[in-house]
Amino acid sequence: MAVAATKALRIYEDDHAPLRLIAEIEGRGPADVVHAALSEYLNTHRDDLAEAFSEAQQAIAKGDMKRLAEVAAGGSRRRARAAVSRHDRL
Amino acid sequence: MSDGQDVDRNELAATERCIRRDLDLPPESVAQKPSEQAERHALLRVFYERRAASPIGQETIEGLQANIVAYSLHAGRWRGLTWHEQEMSIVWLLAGRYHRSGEQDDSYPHFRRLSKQQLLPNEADYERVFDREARAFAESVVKDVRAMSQEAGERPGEIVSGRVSGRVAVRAVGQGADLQVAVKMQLYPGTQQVPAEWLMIVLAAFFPDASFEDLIWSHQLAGARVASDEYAFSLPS
Repeated sequence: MAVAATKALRIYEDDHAPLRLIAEIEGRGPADVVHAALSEYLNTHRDDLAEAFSEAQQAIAKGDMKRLAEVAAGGSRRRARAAVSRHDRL
Repeated sequence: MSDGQDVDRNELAATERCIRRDLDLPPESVAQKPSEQAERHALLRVFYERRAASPIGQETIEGLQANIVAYSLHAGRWRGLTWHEQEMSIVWLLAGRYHRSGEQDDSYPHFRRLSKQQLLPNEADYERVFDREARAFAESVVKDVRAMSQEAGERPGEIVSGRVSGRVAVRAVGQGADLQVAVKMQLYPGTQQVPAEWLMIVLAAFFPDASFEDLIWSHQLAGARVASDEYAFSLPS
């Protein structure tokens, strides 16, 4: 998988200072630090993404809509946890 | 495939606590489809009818233990408490009570007595809605992607755009045998991100014979930079 590293990213305000500190320690620019972290993150999840992609291809090839729905629902629990975590500010 | 102008609609759901505790319905009713739930209780029927037409009501209810804008819903002597969670594009029926004006077990004191945790949807409530969304997404994704692919093939060099399953905004352009696809990472309606699994399904439908490792992720479509929340995908020529 080729990943272009040219996208402008928004960094949380609170992260600016630690980001600059890490960049200084590593002798790199802040953008390089962010993109390295993103690449690492993507690599970490590469197997999960590839598995979902492959399972979706198989379900589509077989016309197995039940299986395709299961693949689509693979993130439901994760999304539900994220949704509930937002309640802290309510 | 849709242009998205007429398909933005909210999901509607009642929380398990509301269904079981407030409306006193059996456990199996929690997982039922809205159309089946609507037959079980007048408040649910009115909720699904009215909040489908408008996600908010006219009368807000103050003094709740959660900082939300919630509306009263009337169904005969029953009162409901609904919340339009705009970020998630879900309208919830959070609570219901038979209305006995002035009495201690009246609906409004009941709504105000509920703790934030009791009032708001829990993980299982959200998961049921997201599973339902996933089934709806899976039902039309392939048809929508095939229509876009065909259109892009018939108009080479021209960018065609649409919403897959009404939820994911996609632009595609065909260049000879090659296809480039840009996917916006905002899930419509609402402000959520497209779930990773849904993105993979859209890509699998556009590139049914590709290996995941061969996909090229970029930020350009037909030579132009895509929006900051879009990713472009293609295969090596």
